[in-house]
Amino acid sequence: MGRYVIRRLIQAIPVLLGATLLIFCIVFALPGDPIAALFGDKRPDPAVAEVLREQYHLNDPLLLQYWYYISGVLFRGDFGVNFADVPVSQIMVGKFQITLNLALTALVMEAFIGVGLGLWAALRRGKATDTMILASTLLLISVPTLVTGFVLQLLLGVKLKEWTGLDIFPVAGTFAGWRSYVLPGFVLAGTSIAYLTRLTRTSLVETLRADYIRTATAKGLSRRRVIGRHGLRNALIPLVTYLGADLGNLMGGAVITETIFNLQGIGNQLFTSVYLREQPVVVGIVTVLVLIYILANLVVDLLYAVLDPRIRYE
Amino acid sequence: MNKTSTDLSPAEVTPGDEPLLAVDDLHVEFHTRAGTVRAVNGVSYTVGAGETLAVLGESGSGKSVTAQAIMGILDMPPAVIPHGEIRFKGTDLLKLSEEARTQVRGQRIAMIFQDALSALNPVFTVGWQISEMFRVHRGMSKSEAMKKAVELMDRVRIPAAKQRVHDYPHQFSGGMRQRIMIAMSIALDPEVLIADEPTTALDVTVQAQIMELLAELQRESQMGLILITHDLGVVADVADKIAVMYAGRIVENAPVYDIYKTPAHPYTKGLLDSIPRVDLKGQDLYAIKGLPPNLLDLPKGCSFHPRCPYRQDNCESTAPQLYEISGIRGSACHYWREVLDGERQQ
Repeated sequence: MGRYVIRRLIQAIPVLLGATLLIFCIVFALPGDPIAALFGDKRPDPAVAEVLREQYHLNDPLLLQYWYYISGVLFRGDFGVNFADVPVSQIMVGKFQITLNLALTALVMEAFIGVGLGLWAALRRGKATDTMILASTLLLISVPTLVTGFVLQLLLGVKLKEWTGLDIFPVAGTFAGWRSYVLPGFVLAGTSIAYLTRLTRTSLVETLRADYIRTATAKGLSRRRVIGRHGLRNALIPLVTYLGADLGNLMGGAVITETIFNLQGIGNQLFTSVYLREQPVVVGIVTVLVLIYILANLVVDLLYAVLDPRIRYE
Repeated sequence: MNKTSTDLSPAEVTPGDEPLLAVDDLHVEFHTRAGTVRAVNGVSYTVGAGETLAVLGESGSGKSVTAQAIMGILDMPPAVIPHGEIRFKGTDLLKLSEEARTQVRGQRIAMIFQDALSALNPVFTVGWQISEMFRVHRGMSKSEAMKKAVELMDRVRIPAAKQRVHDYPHQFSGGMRQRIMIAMSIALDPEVLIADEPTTALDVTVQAQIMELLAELQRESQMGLILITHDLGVVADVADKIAVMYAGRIVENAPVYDIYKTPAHPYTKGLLDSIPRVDLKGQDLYAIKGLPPNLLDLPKGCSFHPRCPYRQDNCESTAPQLYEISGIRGSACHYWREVLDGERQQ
């Protein structure tokens, strides 16, 4: 097990390098001049611009620039500075916290609502409840986040307060503690909830057809025990995998949600930094995101072995 | 053994001539989109304490469906039991409430399935799965129940039971897995054990060991054993009597010796003739011509008539009843006399 973890972590290194290099190249290929952008509408003094260019190694070849960057990250844990000389790590810390809160809220909602609805649908298979749940997941999948976000913001954030006087869901920002995350968390989790509902339903329906379920029934166990112990334990395996892998998706996909609800998270920052062509910030954020992806997948694989005794890691 | 938990009132005491388990004119249908599948069409058989009944038939003959109806593990719907009785010690199981049925299932009538790898839950240890019987039905503590599980694994002769009790099903060989299945089924000393093709997924040598084990356990506890199989060779040594099924009916009923010596139904005869024999090496193997019947649309008259070498005109119009030949022998063929007297093929 320990050796497996180490091997997986070593395998993660080329993935990390490849992903960061790719992002580096893409940012490099973006049109426009970061130094010009730094000066806004004014034209920079060519001499000053040249000094700045030298200072930030912008005249060096791409691969060399990448080397300056990645060696700093790997050997000194230094993500560099942006053009205002603020360390990138300092920019990221607080913002990652916000995005992480948001993603975890979404993940918890996804787990409870998605798995709950899926189980409910599976146990009422072919009945009206099942059809209704399936239809609503389809709706949730087909409506873009942009729409659900604004609609829910208007209905629950603005109108609910107007109509009832209850201030449950803040319209935007993070001033109301964990309550600030409920609405955006749901919006972010929306499509994932729908997918997980369907996955849960299929998984349980499949499991309940298995021979060992018939055996459990033949043992004289109650239906509750047959489904709750013998069925659920097996049906959960693919769901855990999905949930684990989705944490990365949620963190990386928070841009739109964060913009709608004005959460100063990593998505918002990424958007701003791409706009300003702040290479170190963009690459830094993406590097950390890639790392989270890799770690989440590793945790999922390890969980697999815990849940399914047939899987062993050497 | 304590049986107060499984109340089978009113007739707990078996009446004089009432066998341990009696299936009486059982019909099972599956209502599907394509139509009604008549899987079991009036099956009757009995099994007494210490007796072994082999139910023989090809896939789709209704032998497993009958067993599942006895266990009460058919999915209803789509399955429907429009007619028939399944009497266990005089009580019709089909009339019991679901709760009362659950009390019989596993505790008094138990079942072993064909493929033990898929029939055992992959994510629980075998000890957990065996001991679950004691924990759920007898209210034992975990450690007590686990001790019982080890005893049972010893009893079905699994080597190093004490260590292996914590292993998972996939860590055992096919034969050992089937032994675990057996251990689980006999955990609560059932009075009837149904074995649905218990050796089909196993090597021939292992098959013999498993059959031996079943026979031995039966002798010890005087269970009624229903052995479902499509393999005539498997049952010869252990069965007392045989019921041959075709298209959801019993076509022949006989003590095991009689059926091998003088089959009284063309189908049974065909089955016997299609067993490979060493002394006929090199010759073509006999096969019953034609295909098993479509259960959605059974042939009129005798279901076997399209494949039958003894067919006469009335076979296509009138379905034969199970004619009594002698005592417990019966054959559902109008011309059973000709079949009895007839030469074996080959």
